[in-house]
Amino acid sequence: MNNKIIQICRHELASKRKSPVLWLLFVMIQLLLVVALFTGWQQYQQSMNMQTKAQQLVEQQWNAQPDRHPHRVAHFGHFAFRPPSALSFFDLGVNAWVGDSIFLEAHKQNSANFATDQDGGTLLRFSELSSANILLLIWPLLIIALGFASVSGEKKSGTLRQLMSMGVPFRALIAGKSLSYLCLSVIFILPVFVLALGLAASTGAQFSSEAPIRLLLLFALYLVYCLFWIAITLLVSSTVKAPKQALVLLTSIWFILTILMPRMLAEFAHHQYPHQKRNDFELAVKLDNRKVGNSHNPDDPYFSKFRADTLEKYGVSTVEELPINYKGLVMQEGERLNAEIYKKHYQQQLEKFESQQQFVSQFYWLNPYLFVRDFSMALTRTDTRHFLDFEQQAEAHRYARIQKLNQLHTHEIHHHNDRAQRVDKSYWQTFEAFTYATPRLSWSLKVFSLSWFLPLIVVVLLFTFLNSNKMQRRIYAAV
Amino acid sequence: MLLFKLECKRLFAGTVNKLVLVLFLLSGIFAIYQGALGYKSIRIDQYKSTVVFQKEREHVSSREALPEPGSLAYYASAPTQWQLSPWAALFVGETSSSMVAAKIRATALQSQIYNREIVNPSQQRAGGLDLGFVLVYFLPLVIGILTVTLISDEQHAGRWRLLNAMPRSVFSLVGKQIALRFVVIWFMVALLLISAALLLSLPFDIFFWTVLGATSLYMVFWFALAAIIMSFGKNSVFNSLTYLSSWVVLALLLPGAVHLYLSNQYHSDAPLEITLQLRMTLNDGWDQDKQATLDAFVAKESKWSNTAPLGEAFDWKWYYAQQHMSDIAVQDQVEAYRRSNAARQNQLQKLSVLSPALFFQLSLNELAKTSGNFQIKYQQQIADYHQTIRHYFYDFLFFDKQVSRQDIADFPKFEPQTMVAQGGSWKLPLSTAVVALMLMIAIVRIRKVKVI
Repeated sequence: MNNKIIQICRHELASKRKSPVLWLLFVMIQLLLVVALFTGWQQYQQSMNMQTKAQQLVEQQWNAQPDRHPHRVAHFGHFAFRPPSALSFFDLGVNAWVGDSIFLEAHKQNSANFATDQDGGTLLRFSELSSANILLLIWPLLIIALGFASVSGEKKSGTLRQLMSMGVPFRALIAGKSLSYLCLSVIFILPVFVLALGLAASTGAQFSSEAPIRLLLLFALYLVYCLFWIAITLLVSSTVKAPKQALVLLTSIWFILTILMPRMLAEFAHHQYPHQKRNDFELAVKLDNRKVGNSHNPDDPYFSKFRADTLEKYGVSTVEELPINYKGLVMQEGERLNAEIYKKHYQQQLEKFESQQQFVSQFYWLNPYLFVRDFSMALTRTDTRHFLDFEQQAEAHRYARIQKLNQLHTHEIHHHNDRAQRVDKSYWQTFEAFTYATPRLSWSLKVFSLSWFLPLIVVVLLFTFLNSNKMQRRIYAAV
Repeated sequence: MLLFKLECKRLFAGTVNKLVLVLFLLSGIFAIYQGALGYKSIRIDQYKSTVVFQKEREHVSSREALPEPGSLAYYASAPTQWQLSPWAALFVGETSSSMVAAKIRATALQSQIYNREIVNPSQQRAGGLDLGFVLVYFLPLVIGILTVTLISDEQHAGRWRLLNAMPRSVFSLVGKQIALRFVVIWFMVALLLISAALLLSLPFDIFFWTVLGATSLYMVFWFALAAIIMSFGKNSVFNSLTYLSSWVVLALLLPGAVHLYLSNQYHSDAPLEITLQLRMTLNDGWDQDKQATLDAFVAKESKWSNTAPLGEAFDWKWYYAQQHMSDIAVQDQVEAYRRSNAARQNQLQKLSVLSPALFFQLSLNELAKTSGNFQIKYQQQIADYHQTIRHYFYDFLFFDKQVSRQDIADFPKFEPQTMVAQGGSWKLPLSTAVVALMLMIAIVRIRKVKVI
């Protein structure tokens, strides 16, 4: 049996080697993959360069400040930049649609700006030409082109009957052909991964011990994806009468799974679990802030109580007698309330995003394309979740920075003639620079918990079905 | 007539044929429905912004003491709106990821203009499904699946010889078969467009006929391509693969390549650089001689040059003068960025002729006023309105006028200008010429097809 499988595999490979069209396609795809990888690499370096430079610049600007009033410094603010992830040159993920920098200032949470999706509504309908995107969209077409005639063609030309009569079991045929297509897949996607590993290694400091593991997992992921398409191709090829029909049917399946369904699901999820638009979101935050109280209004009930509590705590009767600066305390309290309100609304948005993603991920088992796409983005740290993590890290940094300034305001500035005073410039050096803490692999993959299992089962089931007695009987009956 | 019935039967006999047609209709209906929802939420956003602003003004007016003009200007974020055509529901373009009702106030423009809409990036990554997508990318595949194997199937079934033996020409027979498919698909497209028009209450005006006409022209292109591929007389598999490859190249790879080229060619860190510099200018202004800033300001805005000199205390008029001066400090960069964007748009228009899919997609978005081109026009309108707001407040700020309730009621409203696409007149003749040429080649080649 094993011998036969190897023989069939060899024969299939030899016959494919003779086809000039396939050679042409293969060369073109290789070229495309390399170009995609190279441009991705260029983009990565450019963006890395810019982010690092800009981050250094703003840190330097911060440290170079003269003696200043802390609240002025809070309005001077700071920036947080999102360095591109080390493997983003392989899979650009959602990078085009999210901003890379956030302005961090007092009283206000800005969102990330300067995305690169100019004319996206016209040019990015199929996302960018990244290596991952080519493997996801175009590689399946090539597998279809390789294998649509594998069984239906043999059936049509009558060679299937001959093979069967020679005692070649259908199972061996399927196994042999699958093996040959898998070999071809490996041959053709391996160079990109090797190249990617080389490029990743050349990033030096960015290259962590995790990168090879991530790349290895990516390679395994795309191999499973290949296996899925091989299984589908062979299944359709075995059940349909003529190769032409197999081709049309497979193309239709490809179109539905990789193009139509992901779009429909995303649109549907968006309208099912709508998140707030910017205007609504900002209005909601503003209204909630108004409800809590206005720290500038002396008769405001919330801050009157806050004042009374503070005076009682220190056992004095006026704010002037306090050992600390009451204005600084009010700033701290105001910032705390404001950040809490923002967080509440932001969490609601996050929940909507999660529900949308949850909805899409229900279909992982039915459409492994969705799973592979999302898993690949998670491995390369280019999915929505990683971006939102950056936003949250930046907000945490903003809050800590502003509150530290408010502390200085409370302790180093006297209440009397508050605005005219300054604190020493040496304080600015005590602030830590913003560094994005890159998530670990376990965090990246946390959301998938066991859902990676389902698509794998689907692939196994497809092959089991191909090898089942029922299938074999069908084939024998047909020839 | 008999032949016609027979052909109809053949067309609808194949399971795959039926499946593809049904799928096409379904995704069209889905896209129209989702588009209608999306457009509604855009309109609500725009309407709500004006209502909220109206409420804020009433709230301010109802106070016993009106705020001083400087403080009023600080909090007056006035709504604008991207004046879309109702067709934006079907061809969403850039509207799904950018602000359609941006708010603007009298502080520095450059610190406000780069705000983005909140989007779920995963949804953007999936690509979006509007009617434009169905027409531009799905439609060619439907045409291919129904058409590209016509002759080879006849040959395969052995009917080709028979047909050739008949007195009537082969060409007229194949022509009729193709025409039948064209008519069936055309009716489906028309059905989708008419139901969209009814659902969204779009008038059956010049736009409607332009969209229908452009779609028909686009269909002719793909039919002609299918006919040319058929005319080589190869087998069905070859035809299908060639057609599919053309689709991949024209619809998928070329737009991707154009995007890569444009982002490499016009890669601009300008917005970031502008923002960083603006921040430093705004900040340094507090340490500089305030009267000097004011003097520099009135040199630019001479209408307010009669303003009194600054006193010791904080003065709002200095604040707004310095906000505007920081906009002016980055003006060269802004201008360069604007030029680079315009050049990018130009280049995109030129490069779009490389792929009919890209060309058609861009034209549809232009028609619905949702393309990048119109986004830039809208941003220009925001900038103009920003100036109106500034000037409105300057009278109060620099001439020490008090704001009255009437002034608040008279606050200048954003008047959306009608936006027209310029320089698109070459598009129709060019595309007609290209499609006509393709059609001629197809006809000539099909006439020559020999019996094998």
